[in-house]
Amino acid sequence: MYTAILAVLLGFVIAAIFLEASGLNAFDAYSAMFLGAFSTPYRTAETLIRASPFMLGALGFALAFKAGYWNIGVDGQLVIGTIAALWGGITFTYLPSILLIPLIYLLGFLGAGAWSLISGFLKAKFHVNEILTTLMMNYVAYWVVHYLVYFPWKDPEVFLHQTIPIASSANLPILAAGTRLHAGVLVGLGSAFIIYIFLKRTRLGYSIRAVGFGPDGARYGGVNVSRTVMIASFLSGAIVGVGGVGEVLGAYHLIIENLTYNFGFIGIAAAMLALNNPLGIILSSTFFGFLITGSLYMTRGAALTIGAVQLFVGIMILATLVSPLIAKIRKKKTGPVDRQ
Amino acid sequence: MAKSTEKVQKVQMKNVTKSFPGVLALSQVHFSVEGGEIRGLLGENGAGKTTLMNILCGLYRSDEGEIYIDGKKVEFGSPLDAINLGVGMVHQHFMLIPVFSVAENIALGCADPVTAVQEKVRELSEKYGLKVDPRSRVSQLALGERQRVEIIKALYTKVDIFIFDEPTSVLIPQEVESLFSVLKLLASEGRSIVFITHKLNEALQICDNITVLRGGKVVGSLKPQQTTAKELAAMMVGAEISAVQKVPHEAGEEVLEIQNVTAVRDDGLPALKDVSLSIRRGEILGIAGVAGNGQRELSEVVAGLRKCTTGKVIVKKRDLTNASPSKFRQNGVSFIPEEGINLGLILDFTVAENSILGKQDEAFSRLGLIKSDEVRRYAEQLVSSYDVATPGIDSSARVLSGGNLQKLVVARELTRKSDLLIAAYPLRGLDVRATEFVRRKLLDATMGNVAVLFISEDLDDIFDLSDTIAVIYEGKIMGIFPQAKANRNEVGLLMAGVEQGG
Repeated sequence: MYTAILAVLLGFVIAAIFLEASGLNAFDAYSAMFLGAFSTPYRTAETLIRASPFMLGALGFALAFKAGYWNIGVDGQLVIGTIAALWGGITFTYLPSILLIPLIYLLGFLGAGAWSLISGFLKAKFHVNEILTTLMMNYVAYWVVHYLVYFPWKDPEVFLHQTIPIASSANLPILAAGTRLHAGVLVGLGSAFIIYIFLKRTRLGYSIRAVGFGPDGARYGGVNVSRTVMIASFLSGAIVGVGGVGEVLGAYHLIIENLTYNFGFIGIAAAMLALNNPLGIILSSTFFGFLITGSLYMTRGAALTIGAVQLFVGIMILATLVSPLIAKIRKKKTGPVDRQ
Repeated sequence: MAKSTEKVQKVQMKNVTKSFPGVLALSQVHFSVEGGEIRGLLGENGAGKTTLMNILCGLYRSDEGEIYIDGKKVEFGSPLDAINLGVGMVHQHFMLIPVFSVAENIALGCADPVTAVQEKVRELSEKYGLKVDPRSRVSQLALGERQRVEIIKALYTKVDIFIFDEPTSVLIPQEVESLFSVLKLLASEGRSIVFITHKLNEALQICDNITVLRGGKVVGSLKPQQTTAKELAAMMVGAEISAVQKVPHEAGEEVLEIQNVTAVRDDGLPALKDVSLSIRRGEILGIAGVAGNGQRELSEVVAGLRKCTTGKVIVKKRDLTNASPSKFRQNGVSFIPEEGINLGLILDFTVAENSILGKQDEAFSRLGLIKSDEVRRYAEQLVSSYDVATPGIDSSARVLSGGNLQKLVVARELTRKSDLLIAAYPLRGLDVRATEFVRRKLLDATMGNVAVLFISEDLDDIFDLSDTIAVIYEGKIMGIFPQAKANRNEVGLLMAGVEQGG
C-alpha cells in the first residue's frame, strides 16, 4: 500500500517538475484533472467506467503472474473479448437479456481464454518465451479486429469504420440514472474479490502460486507444473476477455478499431502498481481511471496541449512501474536477519 | 607487552561482542590458541562459532573487543589484513575454481608464475603428506583432494593460524585419519589450529583443548582427558541429551524395489549405474557414500522427480517407473530431499502453506477448496511438536533460519502417513537436540512399519540407524551389508571406490 502511494506521489512530483519547466502551473493542472474526474456524478461515473477494463486486465495479468507467467498479451485479449461480445450480440439476438448477457460473457471468457492458452501451451510444452508470444499475439488481434471492422461487420449506414451495434437486449443495465455507469463495473469489482479468494483458498490457487514462487518446490509437492501454467494462462486471458465484453455490452455497444487499444497495457501497469494483489488492483485501476479521464480535462482546465497530457500520463505510468522496486527495497530493509 | 615469564598466546580474542539486527551473535567472548595447539571449537548451529572465526579472518568486524596476535593488538580492516598476519581458513565449502588446475588456483591471488607454484606445491605436498597432483584440474578432484588443495594453498601463503570449518564432514574415515595426522604435523611445527566441529568424538580425539560456545557465550574450556562426549553435548545444549537406541524388530514385506536403474545427472552425465536395492517394512536402508556420488539422483528417482533411463522402480508391488511425483506421493512415498530448503519448501509461502506442500490434494482440500482451519491447526501442530522457531505460522518461510526450515520439512514428511520415507541428509543443519529428536522419529517410523531409505555422509549416523547398509560410489552400489556384519573400515574403503576391502 505504502509503496503504491509512494510511487504515485513520485510520479506527481516528477510530472509537476516537467509542467513547471514548461511554464505551466502544475497546481492548476492537477486541480483541473481532479475536478474533471470527480466534480459531478456523471464525471465520477465516467472515471469508474474507464477503470473497469483496466481492472479486469490487471486481474488477468496478476493471476498469470502468480504462476510466474508474464502475460503481456492483455491488450490483445481485451480485443478478443470485444469481438466475442459483438459476435454474440449480433448472433443470438433472439434470446432474452437474462440468457443473452451471461452467454456473451461466457463467450468472451472462453474466447479470450483460448486465445491466451495458445501462448501458455507453447510455453508449457516447448518452453517458448511467453513474453514474446503474448506480445506478438496482440498484433494478430489488432489485425483481426481491423478486418472485422472494415469488412464483414462494418456498418454500411455509417461513413466511419465501425461495426453494426449489438442487439439492445444485450446492453448492460445502467446503475445510476443520468450517468453511463453500467453493470460491467460490478463485474470487475466482483472478479477482484473472487480472484483474491481463488488464489488464497483454492487448491488450484495454491498450485498456481506454488509454481510462481518455486517451480522446483511445486514439482516436489506433486504439482503438475506445465498443466498449471496452461491453466493459469487460460484463466488469465479469460478474465481479461470479460473486461472486453464489458466495454461492448456496457459502454459502446459496437466496435471501432481502436476501442480498447492500450487499455491492456494500462491494466498491466495497474497490476504492477498494486503488486499483483487483486484487492489492491481495485484501487490502482480506479486510480488509472481517474488519471486517464481526468487528464483529458487538463487541456481545458489548465491549457495543456494534448502532447503535454500524454507526456504526463506517460510519466505517471512509468512511476507506477517503480512500485515493485520500492517494495523490494523495503523488503530488504526489513528482511530476514543475518544469522551466524 | 607480554612478560617473558608469561607464555605468549598466538591468538587472543578478548571480550568480543557482535550483534546482527535482532540477534546477539557473540557476547563477551574470550578465545585463545597457543602456538602448537589444536583448539576445538564446539557449538550448535547458531552458537556463534562461524561468526567468531569470521571476525578472526577479518570478514566481520566485532562491535566490541580486541584481537591480539603474538601478543600484539591488531585491527582488521579487511580479510587481507588477516591473511597478511598469517590467519587462514579452510572453508567447509571449498573456495576453488573448478576449471583451473591445482597450481593455477594457488597462483591465483599471488604474483608467482604457475610453474614456480607447481614446484612449490609438489614440495609442500610431499613434506606434509598431502598427496595431490598440481597439474590436475580441480573439477576432477574428489572432495577430500580439494580439501588438501585448500590446505596446501594456505601453507603456500604462509598461514600460521589455521581455521578448519567442519573439515571432516566431506571425508571418509580413512581420509579423516590422514587429515588428523596432517593437523598434528602442522601443530608440531608451532602453528595454531582451530578445529570447528560438532562431532564430539573427533574433538575429543584430536584437540588439545576444547572451547564450547552456546548462544554466543563461552560456556567452558576444557581438556579432552577431563571430559566425555556426554558432558560436552550437555554443555552445547544446556541440558542432558539421551542418545537414541535402536530397538530390534522384524522387517515385513518389501515396500521398495529398485531393479537395475540407471539415470543421468542434470548435465547428462551418468549418475546411477545399474542400481538394484530393496527395502522392507520397518527397515532402514542406509546409503553410505561421499556426497555427490549419485545419492541425490537416487533419491529423486525414487520420489518420481527424475526419470530413469533404464530399470524399474517398484513401490508396494506396483510399477511406478517414471511416474509423476504425485503418483509416488499417492502411493505413500514421503521425501525429505537433499536440498530440503530449496526443493522441499516454497520460501515465499507461509509456514502454514508450506506445511501442506505435497498434501494439498489428499488431506487438506475438498472440492478444490483448501480447508484453511485444518491447515492452520496442522501447521501449529508441526511447529510445536518439532520446535520450529518461527514468528508465527502466517509468516513467510523466508524469515526462518536454515535449521528451522529443515525441521519444517522433516516435520511435514515424518508426520505424513507413509509406507516409504526417503530421507536424504535429514540431519543436516539441525542442532544437537533436533538431531536426536529426528533420529528418534526415524526409528519410530520403522516401528510404525515404514520403510526408510536413509542417505547420509556421516558414518556414525549410518551405523547407528540403519538395519542394512549399502555403499554408493560413482553411481554404483559397491556392496550391501546387514548392519551387524558391516565393518567401518570396509565401508570406508568402498566409499572411496576401493573394492575388496576385507
